[in-house]
Amino acid sequence: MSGTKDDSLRERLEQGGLSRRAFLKGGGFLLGTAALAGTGLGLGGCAPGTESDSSSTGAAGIEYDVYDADVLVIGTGFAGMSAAFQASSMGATVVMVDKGPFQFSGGTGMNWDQEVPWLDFPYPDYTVTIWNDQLANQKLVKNVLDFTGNTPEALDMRMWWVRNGGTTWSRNEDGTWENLMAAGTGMNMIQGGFSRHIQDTLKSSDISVVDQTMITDLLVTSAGECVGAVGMHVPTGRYRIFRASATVTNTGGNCQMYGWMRTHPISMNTPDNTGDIDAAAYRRGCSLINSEFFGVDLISVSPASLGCSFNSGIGADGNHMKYVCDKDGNFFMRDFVGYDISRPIREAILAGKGGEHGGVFIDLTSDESVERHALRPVYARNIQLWKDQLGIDVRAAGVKVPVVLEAFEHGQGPTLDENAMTQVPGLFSTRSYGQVKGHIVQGWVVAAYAAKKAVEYSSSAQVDAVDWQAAADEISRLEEIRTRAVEGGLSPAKVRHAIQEAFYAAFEPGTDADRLNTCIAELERIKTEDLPNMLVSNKTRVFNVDWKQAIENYNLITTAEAAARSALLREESRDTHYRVDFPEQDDANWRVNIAAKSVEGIMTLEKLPVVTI
Amino acid sequence: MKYDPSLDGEPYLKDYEVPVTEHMTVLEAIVYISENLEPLAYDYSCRGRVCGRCAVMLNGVPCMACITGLQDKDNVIEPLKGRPVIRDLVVDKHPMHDRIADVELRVRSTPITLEEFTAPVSFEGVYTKLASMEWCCRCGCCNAICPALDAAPDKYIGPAGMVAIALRHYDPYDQGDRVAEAVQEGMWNCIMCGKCDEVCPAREIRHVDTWTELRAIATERGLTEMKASVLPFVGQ
Repeated sequence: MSGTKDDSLRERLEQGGLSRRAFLKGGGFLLGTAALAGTGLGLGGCAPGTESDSSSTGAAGIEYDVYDADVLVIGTGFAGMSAAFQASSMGATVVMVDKGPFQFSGGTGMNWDQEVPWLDFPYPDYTVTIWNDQLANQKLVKNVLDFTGNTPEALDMRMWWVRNGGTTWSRNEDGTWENLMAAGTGMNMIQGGFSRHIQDTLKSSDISVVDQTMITDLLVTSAGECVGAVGMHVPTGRYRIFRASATVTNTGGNCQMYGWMRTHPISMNTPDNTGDIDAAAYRRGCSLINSEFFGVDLISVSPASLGCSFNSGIGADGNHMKYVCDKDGNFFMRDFVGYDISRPIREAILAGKGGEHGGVFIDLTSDESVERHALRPVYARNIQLWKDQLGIDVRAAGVKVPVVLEAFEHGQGPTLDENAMTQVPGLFSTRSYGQVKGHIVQGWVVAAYAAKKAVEYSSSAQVDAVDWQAAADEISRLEEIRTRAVEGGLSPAKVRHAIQEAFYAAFEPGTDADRLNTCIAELERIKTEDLPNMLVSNKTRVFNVDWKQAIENYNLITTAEAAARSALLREESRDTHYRVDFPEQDDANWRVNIAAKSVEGIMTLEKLPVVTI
Repeated sequence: MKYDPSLDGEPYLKDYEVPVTEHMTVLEAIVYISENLEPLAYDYSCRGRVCGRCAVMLNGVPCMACITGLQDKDNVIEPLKGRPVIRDLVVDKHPMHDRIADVELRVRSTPITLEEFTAPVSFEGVYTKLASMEWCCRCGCCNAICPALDAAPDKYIGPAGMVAIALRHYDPYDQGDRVAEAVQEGMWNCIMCGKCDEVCPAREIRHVDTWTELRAIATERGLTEMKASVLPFVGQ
């Protein structure tokens, strides 16, 4: 890649003159090159990453680059950027790594009018309001708010955004900013946030971004500490090893198990998010919690070719339910009062009031239905798009747009303590502190706190050296996936779709023990029969989509299994988790977090009491 | 189009038969080929024209694969024009993205205050124009079809970069001289053909209308040509 920061650093290193110490002081990161010698991928005598070998290469071995920083930040979305800015402001050297092209990956890589809420008053306690969460780790939430300040000003994300290049946000015709919440409620929300600006600001900072690089494993020492990660640069297939005394993961919610529809799952979430870090953390000893909770909204499924995209579809969020109707045209959501819109929609479908597509409808034929406060601008702008590009007129008489509940977010992540640290010391995370599902403001503040704790850990921890054999083992694993020869092997896409179909059939429009057991049995079959039989037919290292998908499938099946098993264990209904066989919320028995942990290779579940103050 | 620079001498076209479904998009066809006929290198993320990653050439015209329907004939799909090909339909857009990010950084001496932010802005005069330009996702379709950029890439930033400059021109919080910057970046090299308006997936953006406004201000200020010395290329 010409023009990326790592290239210019490589040049500087190859020109020599920078000692490792000086380089770290200079606020950059170290890029070394080393080789795994021989076909067995055993490592030679010297560990890479020292002063002298920054441009060394090995004969007949597999080369990898080594990056070194105080803090590794995985994921470059709002949370990742918040973490990186915070760690950098404390004097730490920071390397950010992103799976896709920076500024164009994940949810933050979508440049659309994001919305931001805030309150006019401090949070009255640590369990409610925009945290919206009875299962949150309250000690962590309190620590976060003590750090940021529990004041409206401190938690006003739109000002952070505006100061980092954001513009005017949505305005009324008199030029005043448009509050989407009713006056006097103390709640505020504004639309019109565009993510590119903050990314532009970060790009102009000293923080290094290594993009188009998928992390496939975490580097954990024999003492059980996380000292970095192993990744692969997708455009070249080159391996990259990241050394850091603390790592903060900020990857987005993984919803890729939620069915399949021509180009994408029943999810507006992006194909970049396949739970790679969650699965790696699980393999390295972390438990995954809150896997049973997904964030769901309505999105069009016809035309299927648009792939459940938020930004090319017609949909309805929680605030825009007025024109949602059943197959008979009844606007059944108008009487609904409450936060969780998924339950009445699922109940309507289960009662036979849905359409043949398995969902409900949105009726945009009236003039009122397309007004500013009835339809989000991100959907309204697609009415013309559908006309121009596909010849579909959703406003014509008698037309109803078929929609289903899509998973836009997932609550799953590694279990955290009150310092935002996972069960692997040195690995911090900004998700999974409750059943909350990727809230934009939460991600922003929790990430800043997690980064602060990561820097403190980084400066005090006595971190063991990297175990290079672990890196070699991981590279061997990835090479085996790429070069595997199987007679009549299955394509990674076919295996992916088998996971997706098994999972979706169990979860929508509601779930129960029978369907979950069927799903788990099928996932087990895929694990033992299909995954070992998966074949990457083109062996190139260069932007090999099949290879990437094959690697991801191992992560997807772990995260899908954790979701299905957690949903089976939770014998109640809560938030978007809807068990048809246990339709009531049961706080006496189930106000707990469910954690899935690997015990001698077997996924084992436990109920964890909610951490309270 | 197929091309693996690590294996192939040069790019080549390959025919695939795809069973067409109603409203089939270019992306759907690409996914079908890759999953059922032969693995392709392709990229996409949002399926909704806001990440820009799936931009390709369809029958010679740049488009976003995710929202563009197949045409009722043989469809030739090629990588986005004007960018180095990594493999098949994947190109390297980093240099273009770096440059756009550079020019779109806000020029500002002091942090914006809450009072300044909550003050009303000129709705018709500024906000509506600014808001339309926010939708630019930097996919590069406009640059790929721009004849002025094609003719002299060293003398013109191209429409995508111009949108970034114009966005800051209309941004009430920006303090830079964006008209001078537009001239410096080669605004007068644009031939006002409007092809950027034709291919831009963000229908809100009015490219030529915007260029017309910037040109009028530049003319008023006497900034009617780009001095050759502004861009220090060899031979100038």
